[in-house]
Amino acid sequence: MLKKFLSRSVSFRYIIPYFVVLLTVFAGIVLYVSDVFDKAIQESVVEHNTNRLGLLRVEHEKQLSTLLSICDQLSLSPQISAFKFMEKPMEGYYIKQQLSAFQVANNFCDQFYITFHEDNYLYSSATSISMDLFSNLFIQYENISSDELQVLLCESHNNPIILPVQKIRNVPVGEAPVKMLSFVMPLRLKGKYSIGNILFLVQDNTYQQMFTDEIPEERAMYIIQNHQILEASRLDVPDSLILEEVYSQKEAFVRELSVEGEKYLLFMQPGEMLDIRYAALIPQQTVKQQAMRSKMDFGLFLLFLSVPASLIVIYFTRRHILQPIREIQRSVGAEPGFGDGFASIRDGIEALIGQNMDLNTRLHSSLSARRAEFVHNFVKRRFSAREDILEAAARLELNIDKPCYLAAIISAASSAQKPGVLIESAPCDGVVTCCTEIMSEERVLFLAFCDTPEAAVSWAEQTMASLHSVCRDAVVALSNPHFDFSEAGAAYLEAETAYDNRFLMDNEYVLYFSQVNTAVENVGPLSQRFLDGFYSILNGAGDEEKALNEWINSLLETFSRQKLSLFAFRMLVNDIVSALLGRLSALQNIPSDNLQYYDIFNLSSCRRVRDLTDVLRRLCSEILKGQENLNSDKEPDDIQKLTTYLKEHCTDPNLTIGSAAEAMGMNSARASILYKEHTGMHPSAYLQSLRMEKAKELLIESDLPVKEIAVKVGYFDSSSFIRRFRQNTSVTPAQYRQMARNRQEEESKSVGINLR
Amino acid sequence: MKKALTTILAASMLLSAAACNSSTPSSSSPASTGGSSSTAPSTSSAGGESSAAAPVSTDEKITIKAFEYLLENQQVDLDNLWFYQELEKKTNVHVEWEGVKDGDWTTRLNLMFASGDWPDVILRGTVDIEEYGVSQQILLPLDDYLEANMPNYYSRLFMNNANDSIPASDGKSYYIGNLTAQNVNHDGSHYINKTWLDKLGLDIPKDIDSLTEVLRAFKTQDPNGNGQADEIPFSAADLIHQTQGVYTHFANFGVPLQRYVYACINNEGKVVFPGDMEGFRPACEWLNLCYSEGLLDPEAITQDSNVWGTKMNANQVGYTTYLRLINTALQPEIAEQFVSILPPASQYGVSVPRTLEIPEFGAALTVANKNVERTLQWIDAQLETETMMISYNGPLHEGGPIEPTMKINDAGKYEILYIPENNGLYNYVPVYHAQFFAPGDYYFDIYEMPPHRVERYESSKQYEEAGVLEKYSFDYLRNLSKMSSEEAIEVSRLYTEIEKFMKESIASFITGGVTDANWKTFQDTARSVGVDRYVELYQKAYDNYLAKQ
Repeated sequence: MLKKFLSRSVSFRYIIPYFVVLLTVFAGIVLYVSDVFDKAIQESVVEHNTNRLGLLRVEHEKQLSTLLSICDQLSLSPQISAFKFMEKPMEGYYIKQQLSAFQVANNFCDQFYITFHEDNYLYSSATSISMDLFSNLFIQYENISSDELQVLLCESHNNPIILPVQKIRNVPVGEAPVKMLSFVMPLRLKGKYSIGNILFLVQDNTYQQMFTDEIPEERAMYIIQNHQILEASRLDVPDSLILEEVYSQKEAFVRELSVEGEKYLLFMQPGEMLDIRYAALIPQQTVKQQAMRSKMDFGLFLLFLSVPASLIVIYFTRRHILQPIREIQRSVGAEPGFGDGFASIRDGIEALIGQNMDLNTRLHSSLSARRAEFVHNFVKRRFSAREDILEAAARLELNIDKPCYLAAIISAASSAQKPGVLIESAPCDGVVTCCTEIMSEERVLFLAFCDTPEAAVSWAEQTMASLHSVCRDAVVALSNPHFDFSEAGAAYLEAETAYDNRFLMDNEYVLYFSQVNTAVENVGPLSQRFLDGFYSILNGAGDEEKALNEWINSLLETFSRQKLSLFAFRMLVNDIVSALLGRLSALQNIPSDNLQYYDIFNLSSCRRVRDLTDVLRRLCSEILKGQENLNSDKEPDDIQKLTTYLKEHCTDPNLTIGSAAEAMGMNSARASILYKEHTGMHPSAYLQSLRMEKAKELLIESDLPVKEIAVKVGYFDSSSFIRRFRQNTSVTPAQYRQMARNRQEEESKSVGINLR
Repeated sequence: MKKALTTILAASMLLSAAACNSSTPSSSSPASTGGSSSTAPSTSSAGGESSAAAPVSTDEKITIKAFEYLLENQQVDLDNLWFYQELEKKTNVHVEWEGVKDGDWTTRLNLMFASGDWPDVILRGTVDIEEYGVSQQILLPLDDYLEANMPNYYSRLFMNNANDSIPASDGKSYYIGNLTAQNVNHDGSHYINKTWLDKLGLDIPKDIDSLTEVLRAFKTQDPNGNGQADEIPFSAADLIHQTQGVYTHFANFGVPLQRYVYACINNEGKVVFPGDMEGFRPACEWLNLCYSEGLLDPEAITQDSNVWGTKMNANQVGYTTYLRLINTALQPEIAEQFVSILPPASQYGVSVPRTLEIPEFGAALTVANKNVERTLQWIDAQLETETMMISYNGPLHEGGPIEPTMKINDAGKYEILYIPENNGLYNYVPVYHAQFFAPGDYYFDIYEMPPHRVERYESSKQYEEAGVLEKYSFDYLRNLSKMSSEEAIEVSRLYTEIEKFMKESIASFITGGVTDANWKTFQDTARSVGVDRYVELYQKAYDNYLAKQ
């Protein structure tokens, strides 16, 4: 239970032990003090009580001297002289006024009366009164008869007489007697001749106030003269014993006194006036209490000191220990208030470390994924400018701002690790690489950016070596170095081609595209020819679908006949498909699923002619459909008719757009605009292309001279025909015929695709 | 740790608060509240008072600061006094008390006025109205408010000419009076020992000569029968005392001498110095005669009332003056021997100083008061007859803090049932500190006077009927005539001189006799101490007073 409580929080762990320590120290100090200072305290207690008695003595003697000085002043006063009231009543009237000044001046005696010998009257500040009346009816002493009082007041005395405290009844004032002390002091004319007496009455209360302490304590005090106790506050001790002790010695003393088993301390001090002795009786019990109180005072003092000390400690504990711990707890996300603060901090830190590692892993994989995407985009040429590419690469922490780059296809089928990881873990100076896995193939496409082609080559060699150390069947295929980022597609295909040639080349070494036998020189004209045919089919009238099928079949036939290399084939496919897509995009917005036809990665897996025909058929039907839509929806009959008219009469040299429009009953300018709107080309251009196609046909298939062909396709002037032809095909009709003838010969000579 | 400490602190505070609540005396039963606020008994309407006090608006609780005079020797806890708590419930006025003891009153009052931090209301004690009202304008003139806000007070204000002394020299009233009238018109009455007279077969003396003879008989014929010649035929105490001093015997010679003001108004309405009056020298001579023949107590000029009383109680005295016989320092068996007589007349006529029942200071508002009307209504609520009687005498009904001390007797008057011992009343009601306004006619209607008051009333009636009182009271000079501040200071200075001179002269005449020489000296000295100026100032003030009437 206690343990559970203690482990509640750090504050309990620190503060409770602190208090335990503090209390222990405190208790230790108190014990030490009570032991060591016991004697000192005893002495101080005795001193305290001696002082108290001294205080009483000083105070009482001060009051006595006041009374004596009143006597002296009255004695020396020139206004005061002995008289008899019955003889000089006005003296009585004046003396009252004299006395009132003295009555006001002292607060010790309750009342005082002055009397002259042989006068039998007393005077106070308030009244005069005859001696008889005073002693018989006015004042009644408990222990003295009226006669004794008269004698006392009338006789002359050498020294002041003090009557011990007793009950005195002041008749006119009230029924109840009051305890009073009486002083009878002689009145001496000029300090010598006794002329009367002064009676001072001092109330017991005044003395009891002198005996009272600020802190009430059990203590008896005595004022003693001539073996008589004048005034006292008593304890349960017989007066006789006190008197005996007090008069046993003249000097001041402190002694122990034992009365009926009770122990007391008796203090005595002789006074300086009127032979009065002062005594105090204190029970041992009180002394012990006083000692105890002194200790308690010291203890309280210590406690008061310790309170701010503990507050300071608590404050600093909170500020410098608890607060930081709580802050740490909060920042590590530990739940505060439960269990040990440190344990929760440890848990929190461990959790943090775990999170951090996880985050690192994810960050890493995400970076490689984004880099892979970048490689895809780069190869697909999704970027428009070099700056954009550099910026995108910079975001992936790649600095590809190098003059040259090349693509590499790498596979390592039997390796336990993926080649991308293997290679990226072994970077090469001066070469920045990034890679993407090519889907469904166990190949990785690398892009290596470098300052010089040689650096890339050495990187490749190095990579090959390190892969071979891991697995035997590693392949590394390299494209040619490229300098323009827009050639990225070509670079990829080159690398693919080199890779595809791995069966032919020895894959013990790096495969270079430059070493692949390529027959691509005539790919350009070939693709151009097919495309021209395709366009004329699209623009021509009649059964376009059938014509297209024939066109595709002729293409297939050409491929099988020409036996192109895989690279040439792919380049051809690349050209044709991209041109068709361009066409399609002119007709309509290309739906994203059509783009798949020109996914470079799809094309790179295209190895057979039939793969191509499927693509072409689908594309052509799309184009046709788009064109039909265009024709059916938008192309008015006039345009259709004009096209047909142009096709039928294209060989007529007199045919102009104006005459054709006229024949169709149309305004020539309007017809021209409408035609352009619906077909995308001017009717004159269309007419020209029809004539050029016809001319090409005739050039290839006939041996007619160029002049005749010009006339046949509607040109009067053969030179303008030749100019147009050159504009159209960039060669003269004669050259064209020659090239076509040469190609036919070549095709017939070659036996297939010779790949080295 | 911190939370725990806070909780402990809060808990302890709650506990102490609860303790405080429980220690405040629970409100007394509704009976007493109802009692003090209910209409006064039927007799009160006979006193001409409208018991239906103006409706005190109690809608909003207000707090006022009160500066209250307290008797020196009386412990009073104003905050917890039952009476004021009930009053607060009734009036919805809370009072923050500042009680000031008699000994500190003048100092603290002046200090308060000087400080500028003025309370809303000053209650009881004495206040220099001319200084703080007329001159400094700190006290608020109340004339415009009284009728509307103090119906109880206003209904009694003009009874027995009670209002006459209240307006200040500028004619405005700056304070609410405090008056406990008893229909008494003089202080000292003359008493003679009827037992002695009877014993010696003498009649009650009617004139000075027969009195002198009676005194001589007392002196020589041992009327107290103790065989000693200890009789004092004629005693007096304290020379100037207003009830048993030697001064009272000048009345027998037509000189209304008293100690308050050494001037009086003669029958012609002129202010005169008593020493200049015709009967003054004969009075002194007669007193000297008595002194020299041993008829007058030789100590008459020196003894105080205690010694005088001792002699009275010792059955030594035959003729004296005194306040009354019942309920005094005299023992009942002694008092029984005396009878009240008219002052034995001389050929100069008889003139006993006439006293007026003049209101003392009850309450005043300072200009700092923001709730004048509510404060006055609060004071007036205390003056409603039953509330006022309760405030002075204790509860009337069961359910109060102590057993009822009063009842309404068969005559329909308030009658005291008992007086709690040791001034216990002060624990519940303000008693002397209360607001009280009862002119004689009103008071006699509602209050069953105790015997000692009846005695004085009877004596007053007797003196009035016999025409032995002075025609115009010296109180016109002492209280009703207002002087400017400078004149008041001058008069005060002159008074000190004249008093000393008069006391010594009279004492000297009595003991030494009157000769032409010392009479001349007396007259000359009177001029030199400024008697004429003194009289002149009073004449001026009195003329002003008359002019305003």
